[in-house]
Amino acid sequence: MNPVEHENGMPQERITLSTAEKTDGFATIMKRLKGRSAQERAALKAQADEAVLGYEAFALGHEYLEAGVHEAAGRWLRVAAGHGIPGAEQALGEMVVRQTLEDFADFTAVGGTALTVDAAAPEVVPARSGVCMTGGSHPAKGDELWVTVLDGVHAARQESAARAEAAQITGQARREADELLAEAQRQAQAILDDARAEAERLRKAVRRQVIEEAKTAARATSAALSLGKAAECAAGARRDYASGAAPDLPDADSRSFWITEHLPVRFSRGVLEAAQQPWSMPDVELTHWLTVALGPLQESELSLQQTDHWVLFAACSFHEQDGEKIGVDRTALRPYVTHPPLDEDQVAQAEHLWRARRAAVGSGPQRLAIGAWREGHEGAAADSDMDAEETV
Amino acid sequence: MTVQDFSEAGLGRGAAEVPGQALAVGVVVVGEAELASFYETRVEALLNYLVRKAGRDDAEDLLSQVFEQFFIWWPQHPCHPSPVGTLYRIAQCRLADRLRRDGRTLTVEASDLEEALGEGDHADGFTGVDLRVDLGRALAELSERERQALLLRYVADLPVGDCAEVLELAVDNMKKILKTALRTLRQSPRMDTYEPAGWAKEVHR
Repeated sequence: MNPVEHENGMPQERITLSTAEKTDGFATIMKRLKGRSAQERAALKAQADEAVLGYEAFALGHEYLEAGVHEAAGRWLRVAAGHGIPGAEQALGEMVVRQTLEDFADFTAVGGTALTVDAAAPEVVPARSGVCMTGGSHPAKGDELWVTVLDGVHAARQESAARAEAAQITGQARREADELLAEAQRQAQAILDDARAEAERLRKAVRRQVIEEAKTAARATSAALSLGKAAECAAGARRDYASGAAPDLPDADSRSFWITEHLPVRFSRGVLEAAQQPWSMPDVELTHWLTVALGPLQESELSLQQTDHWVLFAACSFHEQDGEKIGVDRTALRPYVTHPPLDEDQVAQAEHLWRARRAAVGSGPQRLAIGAWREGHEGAAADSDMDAEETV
Repeated sequence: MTVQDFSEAGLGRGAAEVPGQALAVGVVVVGEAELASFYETRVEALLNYLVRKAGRDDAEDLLSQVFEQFFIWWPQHPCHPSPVGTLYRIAQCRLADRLRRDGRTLTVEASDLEEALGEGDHADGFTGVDLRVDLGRALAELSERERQALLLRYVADLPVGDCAEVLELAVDNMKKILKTALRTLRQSPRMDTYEPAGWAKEVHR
């Protein structure tokens, strides 16, 4: 297996291409080639020429090497290496090492011969001129050459090791750079995805808020319209009934407004029928509480319908908690009140009140029932039946 | 000899009309038909070589680069005696460039030669590993030129003649280098324990 197969763990099968694949491949290459600009074609041509010339330099280098002309061989091999020819750098390194070893071998041969040669017969010394100059009889100079040869070997080894290390470092740096780039791309993509998700969430939240505000506005408009008719007959300022303070009702207009503002209750037909069944409020009793709450009323001021009796009863009872602040003429009250149609919330509120009152009927003071109604009216109790029963 | 320069005039323009014709004595034109024929003949072997050394994904990209450069070069040298040699010279350089980016060098490796030496299949996996290790050490005893020769001959699967063209050698010299390389491997102390069936595999093809 070759290195690629090692990575895959399986031997590489030989690839065979069909005629169609070959045709397609050729067409693709030709199409790309024809789409190249003049500069791109020149660059491709330069690369091809570089390969051709580089191999020629590689061959020349080896020819010179075989001929023993190391200087020219080195020059041509360097040219080949500069053109990126595979093996040229290694051949250059091998040549340097070989040359160094040959020098070393020559030196040892010279030294060995010199040891056996008579100092008086220098003509038998081998022909290497540089070495002959030193002579085997001069150990000091021989040592220098020995050191030079060793330095050369050492330098060649160092150069080779440095080249290998440099190639390894370069490869590792390139791989790390690729990994960093890939990691940066992954992080950027993650940030982009988060930003998109956040933007989508905000858009949905804003949309929900807008819808909610629109609904609130619609409800407020509806409530304003429902109260509009009653407000037409009221000239005085509004009173804060929800605060629990006893209403100050100085005149008939204010009283009328108070009733329409705080007791805008009308049952639906079904609820009305149910409400009338369990208890029927005597007119006398109703008159009493209305008088307590509102003071003397003129017949022309109010028109109280039977269906609203129990609500008025509850409201008047509430005010009674604070004492009879208002003078009452029990016989003066003949209330009949008309109101605009109620919305769903108002019907639910009235039903809640009715249940509280119903729970209190026959069991004691109405005041307690009214307390339950107040709680229900303020929205604190979810199930008024339970509240009323507990209260009673 | 007149050479049609497609690099400036647009490759294949007009050439497809007269593919491979000698327009006049000494005038040789390499047209699109010749390029297509050459491509269909050589693409498979070159692709397998590139896949073997660089992997499938890189190989297809490299193949495209190599043929693009070759298709520019060949029409300008229509009388070149060995376009195959040039194709593989370009391929070697581009492959070496690609491997260099990964900190690798383009040379023959032990795993490349297992199959060539007929020792690729082993019932005992350790034998294969041992062979690979020993073969790698034995390869270190070769010269770089011998390793390049083995690479072209046994990994690129080129005939000896084409190998010689790539390395700018005479065929006899190429055979000599290959024989020397194989003999060195065979006689290496590392390989004493093996009796490879494929040692004598043809060098002369």
